[in-house]
Formats: sequence, structure tokens, C-alpha cells
Amino acid sequence: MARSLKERLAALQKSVGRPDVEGTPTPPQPPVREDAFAAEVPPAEEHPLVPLGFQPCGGAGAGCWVRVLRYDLLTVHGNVRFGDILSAKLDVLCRAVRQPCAEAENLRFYDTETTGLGTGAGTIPFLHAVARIEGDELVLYQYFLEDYGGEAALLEELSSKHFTEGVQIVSFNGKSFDWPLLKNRMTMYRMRQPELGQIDLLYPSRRLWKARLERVTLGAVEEAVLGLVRTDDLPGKEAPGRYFEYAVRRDAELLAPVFEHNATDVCSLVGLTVTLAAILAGDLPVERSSEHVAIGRYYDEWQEYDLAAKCFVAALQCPDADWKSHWLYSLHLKRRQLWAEATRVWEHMAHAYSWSVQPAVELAKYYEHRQRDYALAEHWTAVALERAVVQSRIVYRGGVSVSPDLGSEASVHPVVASLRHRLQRVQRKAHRQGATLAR
Amino acid sequence: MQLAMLLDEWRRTPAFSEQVTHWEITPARLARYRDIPDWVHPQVRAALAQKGIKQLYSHQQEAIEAVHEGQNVMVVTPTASGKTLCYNLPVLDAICKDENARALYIFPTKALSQDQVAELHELAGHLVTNVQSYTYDGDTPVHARQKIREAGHIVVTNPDMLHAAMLPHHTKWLRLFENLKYVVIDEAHIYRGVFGSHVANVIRRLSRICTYYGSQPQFILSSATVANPEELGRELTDRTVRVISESGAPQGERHTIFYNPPIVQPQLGLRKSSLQEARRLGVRLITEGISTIAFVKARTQVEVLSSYWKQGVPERLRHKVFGYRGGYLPTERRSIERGLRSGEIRGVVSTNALELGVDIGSLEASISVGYPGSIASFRQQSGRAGRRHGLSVSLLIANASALDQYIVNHPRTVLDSPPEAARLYPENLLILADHVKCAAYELPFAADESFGVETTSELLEYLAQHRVLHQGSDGRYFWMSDALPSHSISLRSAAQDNVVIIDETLPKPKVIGETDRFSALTTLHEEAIYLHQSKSYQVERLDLENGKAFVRAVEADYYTDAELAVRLQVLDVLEEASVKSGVAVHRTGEVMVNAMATLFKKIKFDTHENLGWGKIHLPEAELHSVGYWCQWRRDALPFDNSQWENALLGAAYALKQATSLLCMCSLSDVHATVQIRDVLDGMPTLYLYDAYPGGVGISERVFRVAKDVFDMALQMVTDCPCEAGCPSCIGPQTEPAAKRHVQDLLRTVTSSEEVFA
Repeated sequence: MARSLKERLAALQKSVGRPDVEGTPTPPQPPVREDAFAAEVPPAEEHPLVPLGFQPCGGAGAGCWVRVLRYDLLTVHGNVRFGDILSAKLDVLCRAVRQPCAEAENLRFYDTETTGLGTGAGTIPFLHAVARIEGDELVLYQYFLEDYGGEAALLEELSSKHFTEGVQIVSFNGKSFDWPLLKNRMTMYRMRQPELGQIDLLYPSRRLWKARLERVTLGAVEEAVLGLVRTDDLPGKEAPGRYFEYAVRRDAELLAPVFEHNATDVCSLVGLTVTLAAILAGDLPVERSSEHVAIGRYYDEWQEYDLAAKCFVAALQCPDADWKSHWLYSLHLKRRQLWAEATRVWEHMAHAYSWSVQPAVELAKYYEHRQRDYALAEHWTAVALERAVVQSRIVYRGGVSVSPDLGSEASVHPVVASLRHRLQRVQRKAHRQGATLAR
Repeated sequence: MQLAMLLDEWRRTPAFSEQVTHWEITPARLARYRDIPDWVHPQVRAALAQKGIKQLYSHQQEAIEAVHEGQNVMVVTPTASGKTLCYNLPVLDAICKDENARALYIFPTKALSQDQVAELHELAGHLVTNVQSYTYDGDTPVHARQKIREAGHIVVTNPDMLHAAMLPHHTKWLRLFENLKYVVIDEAHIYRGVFGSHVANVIRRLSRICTYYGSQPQFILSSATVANPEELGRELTDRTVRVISESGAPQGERHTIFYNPPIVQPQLGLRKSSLQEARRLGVRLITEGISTIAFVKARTQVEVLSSYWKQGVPERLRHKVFGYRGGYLPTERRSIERGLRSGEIRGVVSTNALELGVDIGSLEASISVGYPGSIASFRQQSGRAGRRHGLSVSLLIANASALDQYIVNHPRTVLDSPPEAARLYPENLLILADHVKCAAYELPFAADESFGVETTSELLEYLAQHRVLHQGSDGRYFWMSDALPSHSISLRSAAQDNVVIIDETLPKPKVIGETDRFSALTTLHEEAIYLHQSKSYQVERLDLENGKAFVRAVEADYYTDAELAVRLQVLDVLEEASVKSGVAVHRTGEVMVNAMATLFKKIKFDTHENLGWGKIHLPEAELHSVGYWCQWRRDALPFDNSQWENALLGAAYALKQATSLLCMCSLSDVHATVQIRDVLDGMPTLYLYDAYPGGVGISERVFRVAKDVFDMALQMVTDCPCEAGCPSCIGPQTEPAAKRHVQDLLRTVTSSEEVFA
């Protein structure tokens, strides 16, 4: 009479319309008996992962597998040869990510495939790839967690063989994803966590190509910068599903594309390291204004002003030089107090971008505080004010909040208000100056 | 005028005193002190001395001694008796003795934690040891979180945060979980019903993680008075708790007055509305300068009564009267709480939202407009008036319901009996399954591991079959999905998702409140009047799919009240028992309920007359729950169909009230419905069922104590002075014999067989 717990739960879930159990349930299987475990793992040579080149790791039946892919350093990946890493100016790249200078042999290119995108304790990296230079080869180790039981062995292998003292991790977004996840796993097994330097290529990539790419992902950078086009690549987000499916069906064909995808990702980390180092060192010319500007800003931060200036000037000479290129160059000049050149840029901007408020404001400030030329200061303030009023109106009309009862007071944009204030002050000063001169 | 003078005036005014069924004066009580135990760290002792504390109240000393002996402790003493020291003292003592020690404080709401943390900081500030305590909640800035995880000695949070942010990320909280010495659960009585069932499971998950990291924290709980503190503590923590309930704190003189509004129509037994009486008495109290809080049952009434008060009090006090309820935005609530603490606000009308320990200081008068449905609630409400010193009054104004009438005429049932048990039901299958998922995400399950229930392995198998979990070759179960399970599970309801209320009158549409989906059916249907801070809004559109209701401010002199049509279907009988005479059978089991909002009435303010009605077009809501039902043989009584119907309806009305009193739940936790011919056997049947998906154990309990429930219902009906049934006993009735028929029906079960002899 009484229904089983499973039936009750199924009915309950259905009645509240929970989505998470809508997947096709597998037919109930007889509970696995203890003594069946040994038989479950077939001898290594018959295992479906073996044809893909995997070998058991941490003892047969541990649930952890490894395969080693070796690439000659002469191998070309996109437009980069792996061997170029040996001569790459890693010091510049390291400087950009605020890390001590690295040796190519000490780099560990690291990427994972995980069971989800969260960084909680239940998100598990099931595939870890580490690539490193060994002699005249780039060697890529892929560790696959076939069974969760093998995780301790896998992590042990990773930390004893690869993540040893003095190495530096190269990743793409690893600083906030792959590495914290690895640390989570190590915490779970109460293992000592290696404290290693992180060269996360996401940050310099984002600065260089944010303007150019819609989303700065490894795939997008690869295509745009390394000239690499992947065919038949598995979208990364499908990896967890395949892994779960494999857990049930033990069909290695499901995972082959995941392994490929992951290996390509790691190879791209090598290529991207070479390319970024070359770009930042000025050895590889860039074409876009936004790229020149990004490099210029790095030099600016490193107080290498002459190099920075060169980049900004190059940026302005690009056909795609825009308002922002000019603006950032002018700020560079302002910081260096190169007023003549700065005012030239601002004036150019004020004319070329007839809606632009900021250059006019800068000019107003310059004439008011530096030159004490109140007539010109008044002129530029008035220009800025006029533009600001127009702009605030555009925003005002474009917004949803067209309301008659919002009085003029409430509608005054803070920029407009401060410009009005500036105008009054400049006029006061001009008046005072005029009076002094007359006397 | 002082309160003492006003009470004296009321006592001498016949119009008032004649309506009083009970007037009790509790004399002021002196404090009982004990010495601070020797083992307390000198720093803590010094810090207490600086706050002027040289001795402890007896219950404080008892509590900290028990904690010192290693027991889990539950402190159950009145509001403002110094409960917080019972846990702050051992925690600070432990940290002074070992700087690695950690404590986790869990408060039900953010507002509560803010108040308590202020108190903790003050005490900790007097220590030499630098005790770091931090609040970790949704408002904690991201950059501060890292530091809290590493360095916080005391982490203050709420169950929701623990559930969604801390436990799933336990590896980041290594230091806390490794060294966790105390878990403090304040206001434990809040954790009942569905919320409590969730929280008990969150605590199970917490314990699991502590075990994993090798810590064995002690639990210190505090609670308002409940009948079953041991049971509550055990259900919440899976541990035996030592209960400390004898308060040593002083208390001022208190007057408790039970007031029954005068009868205005003797034939129907109609009484003056309790809301109107609360209007009159509240206005008087506030006008005399006496700070007053009124508790009403429905959100709508908050708005109605507070606007009455605003109209009634003198101009100078008008802006010092406020409404307060769930559905207001947090900032609005915080500012009202501040106003109450500072004494700036003189009158407030609240739902039970303010029953909780939110610090609003102490008011002089409290008015419960209608019995709040439980003894515990009533004590919490009256406790809002008067704390340690000075005179205070607490008024209960009865409404016309059977329960209220029973209580106002039997005051001892409320004043002398222990308050209800706070019940939770952590084994609710739906809730349990949710938390097994979360727990599996946090740590894999061993095949033979038990999570609260013995049937855990069956649950794990079920989840594995649905590919939510995966059983590894070592037999352990792992989370196998790319989703984070805690994200889709809210602790505050078994049915998810709220509806936000958006005011479109403003140029920039603004969210003014929110409500749960089930209530939305009856309060936010199109054309409903939604009341917020005494302003009327009309609902223009309800978008249930996206959880939005669009409203527009209107000037309306009426409010709306909607009706639900209910269809019930029995899915499975779990247990059954026949009554002695064999004319009826009790059963309990699973039921499926389909509810549909059908009609709404427009009711005029002030006169409460019906101005008309409208149709509601909303989809049906489905509730899968646990029910109790009683089925009679058709020949059990010589009734025709309409007599059966009236008898069943009347009995259901009375039984529901009795259930809420005996099974210690609020009236809204249980629903009732009847069928003259049930679908299966064509027999007259009366159903009671839990108002939450999966059930929370109320109906099962009715089944166990069915005879007592029927006894009490019969007594309520019999004691009612009306002749033919009234809203006080069996609900609105037109059939003159209905009351007798209800009594006959109830008697068949209370085994008063002589009636039929």
C-alpha cells in the first residue's frame, strides 16, 4: 500500500515542478555489491582510455590516468613556434603581471576542465593539463580523473612532479578559477598547498584586446592574435556533460574531443606567452590604435615615458585612432607636464570631436591655473558648458524619466553644475584681473 | 497622563471594565544574582566589571557553568533577561584562553545580528585580547571577505548565508571549521515549520563539515519560551541540549488584560470588530503619550489600523505613527526600528514580523488584535511592552473567531499552560532531498552514511538514478552536475520564488514590496487593492511567470478580499484507525490539493460592508502535502445532504481552530476542506492538510491525537453562548440546527456513545 520513498519523492518533485530531475533517468540498476568493484575495473590493456594513449597513474585501478603528449620545439602552433619561448622576453611579460622574472624551463602551462563553473567545494577539475619545456620538447601531461576516488593520487602526482618550488604557473584566468579550485581540492585532502607565482595571461590580454574583441576569452584571442582556427572543436561548456555521460557509459569516444580541446588550450597558452612577451617588448608590431595605447599605458606605469610616448604617438597615427587614443595620450602628456603638446592634442580633440566636453574642460583648467589667461579660460569653459548642457539633454530625453514635475534643479547634471560654478569663478577672476590692470 | 492613571480610569469605567474577562497583575520581580565563576578568564572578568557587571543573573551563571562542563545548552528566558551574555561570555572566555578558537553565531535575520553584534563589540572592546568579530552576510564587501575567513574569531551570519555561501565554499573557511568551538543559535524558536526544517538540515551539513575537519563544536542556543525546548534543540542540532529556563532577571509590574468587544447584535452573537476597538484604545494610549505597539494578523490590517491611528491622534503625533510588516523594503524597516528604539516613534502597527527579537527598545503598551494563534506568539507580543523596570500593559482584544472566544473566556489556557511546542520536521522529503544534494556537493557521501534519516541510502540511490549524484567505484556518492545546488534552494519557503510589487505611478517604476507566490494568488490578482504604508494601490497586471505585479497608486475607500476554491485528491493512505463505534475512520496520508483563486470581494473601510465582487483569472496552484481526514458512514447520523454539508463545514471550522491550539501551529499552517461524497467511496469526509509542500508534520499529529482535537472542538462549540452557531464557533451559518448537527457529528468521534443509545 504505502509507496516507496522514491515514488513519493518523484511525485513530490513533479508537483513542485523542479527542473533538476527532468533528465532521462537511467533504468534502476541492481545495487553494486562490494565484491563487484574489483571486477568493475577491467585490466589496463582493455580499458577504453588506453587506445587514447592514457596509462594508469598512482597504481592500477586508482581511478587516475595520465597521457603524455610530446611536441618538438620546432612545432608551429598558429603563428608561433613553441621553441620561441626559449628566446621570449619573459621579463617584460612578468613585469606586466607583477611577477618576478621567470625562466622558460620553470614555466608550467596549466589548464583544467571542470564539472562546473562555480568555485565551491563540489566543483571538481576532472582533467588537469600541465605543459613544460623538457630539453628540445614541449611536453604536455594530461591527468584524467576517471573516478573521484583517484583524486588524492592525482593531486599528489601534480604537486610532486610539476608544482614544485620555484616554478611559475601560466594560465588564462587561472588566478581566479583553475588555481583556487586546485587549492580547494588540496584543502579537501589536507595537502600542503604550493605557493607559486601566477602569470595569468587574461589580464594583459584584456588590456590589449578589450577594445577589439567582444569577449576576451582564450578562444577569441587565439583566433585574433595567434591566427589559429580550430575545426571541430568542442565548446568548453559541453565538457562537464560529456564527463558525466562517460561516468555512466564508459565510452571514451565521448571524451576524446574534451582531451583535444584541453590540449589545444594549453598549447595556446605557450603561443600566447610568446606573443604577449614580444608585443610588450616592442618586438612584434601591433596595428591597432587601442593596442598601441595599451602598451603605452604599461610603459607609463613603469615610468618609461619615452617609450610610452612613442606608443601613444604611434596610436594616433593609426587609421583607427579614436577619441580615447587621443585622450589617453593627452593625459600622459599632462602627467609629464608637457603642456604645449598637451594643449595641441586637446585643441585638436575639441575641434575633431565637437561633442566632447573633457578636452575643453582640460583647456579651461590649463588657461585658468597655468596660464592665468582668464579670457581663454572663460572661452573654453563656455564651450565645455554648452556641450555639457546639450549632452545632458540627450541623456535626459533618451531616458525613461521624462517627467514634467521634475524641476530644473533636479535635472541639472553634476558636470553642468560644476561648469557653471567654474564659469562664475573664471569671470570673477577675469574681472578682478581687469580691475588690477586698469589701476 | 501616566499609564497608571489611565489603567485606573479604565478600571473605573464600566464601558471598559465590563468587557474585560480577565485582568491580571504580575508584580515586579527582583533580580537573583550569582557570583561569576572562578574559571572565567581575568580579562573577561575585567571587561564585565567595566560594563558595571560584578555578578550574573542566576540563569546566566547556570548556563555558562553548563557550557563549561561541555554540555550543549539552550537558554529559554524572557526577552531582555540578558540571554546574549550566556553565549558571549563562554565564547570570549574561550578566545582569551586560546586565540585559535573560533565561534559561529547564527541569527535568523540580518537586523537581529546587527543589534547583537553591537553588544558583542562593546564587551569585546574592553578585552586586552584583540577579538575579531565580523558579520558575514550579503552586504559584506567582497574585499573584506578574505580577511573574515582567515582572521575572524567570531563570524556572525544567518542560515541563508551559511547555506548558500559558507558551506558550499567550506575549503575557504578552513580556519573556522578546523577550530570551531562554539556554534551559537539565537532566537531558535524562529526555526520551526518549513524554515526550521531547512535550518535543521543546514545544521546537519555544518556538523558534517566540522566532523570532516576534525572539530566538535558545542551548541549554545537561545530561544523565547516554547513548550518543548529540549525537543526543539535536539531536532535543530541532532544533539541533546540542557535547558535553562529559570530567569534571574528583574521585571517591572505588568498588567495583562483580556478584552472582549461588546455584542452589537445579540441574535447573531455579532461583536464589535476587534480592529475598531484597537483603533479606539490605541488612539487613546498614543494620545496620552504612552508608546504603543499593536499586532494584527494580516498585512492588510497593518495598513488599515495604522491609517486609523494616524487619523485619530492629534496632529503633532501623526507623523510618529507607522506600519511595519514583511514586504516593506529593508531600509524602510531599519529606519522604523531606529525610530522605535530612540522613542521618536510613538505608535506602530505590525504583523508578527516584530515578534522576533528585533531590538526596538521597550514600549509601554502592547495590543494583540485577535489572538495571534499561538501562546508563544502571544507571549512574544505582550513581551514587547515593558522590560526590566516600570509599569506596562498588554491587551488582548478578542475577535469573533471560535478560538479567540474560547481563549478570552478561558484565559488560563493561555496564561498558565506552557506555550506551544516549536515543531519542525527536518524529514520532509522534499527539503531533505534538497539538502542531501547540497551536502553531496560539499562532501561526497559514503554509501552507508546517514544524513538525519535511516533511509539516506535510498535517497542517494534515487538521486544517482536521476544523475544528480554519481556513485564512484569506491561506493561514495558525488555531486554530478555543473549547477550549484544551494543556488536554487531557498530556506524561507518550500515553494520557491517571490513576486515583487512594482509601482508604475512614479516616473521611474520602483519596487515597493514583495510577497510569496501562493499569497500573490489572493492578494495581487488583477484589480486587487494592495495596501502599503496606508496608501492604496490597484494591481494592474500580475505576471506570475516572471514574478512581477504592476500596481498603480489609487484613491480607494475599499480593500479587497479573495476566495480560494480547493480540490483535494488522496494519493496514498499511510495509516488508518477506526473509532470505537465503527461509524467513522481516521486516516492520514498524502494528498494533492489544487487551489484556484476564484472571486474577490470589495470591502469598504470603516463600515466593512461589501461593495461588490469580481472574478479572478489565474492559473491553478498545486500543493502536494500530507493530510488527515475523517470519513463517516452515511448512516452514522440521520442527515440529509444539506445537513451533512453544514455539519461538516461547521466541524471543519471548529477542528481547524482546535488543531492550531493543540498541535501548536498557526491557523494558516493548516487548511481544511470537506466533501459530502468523497471521490473514492462516496462518503462524507472532512480533511485537514498541511499548508506546505511535502507536509510539516501537523496532519500526522492530528491523526495521533484526533480524539483530543475533536474533544476540544466540541467543547469550543458547546461553550459558545450563541444559539444556532456563529462566527465564534462553527463559522457563518444560516441553518438554525447547524450548531446541534455539528455537535452531533463531533460527538461520534469523541466516543460519547450515550447520545446514540
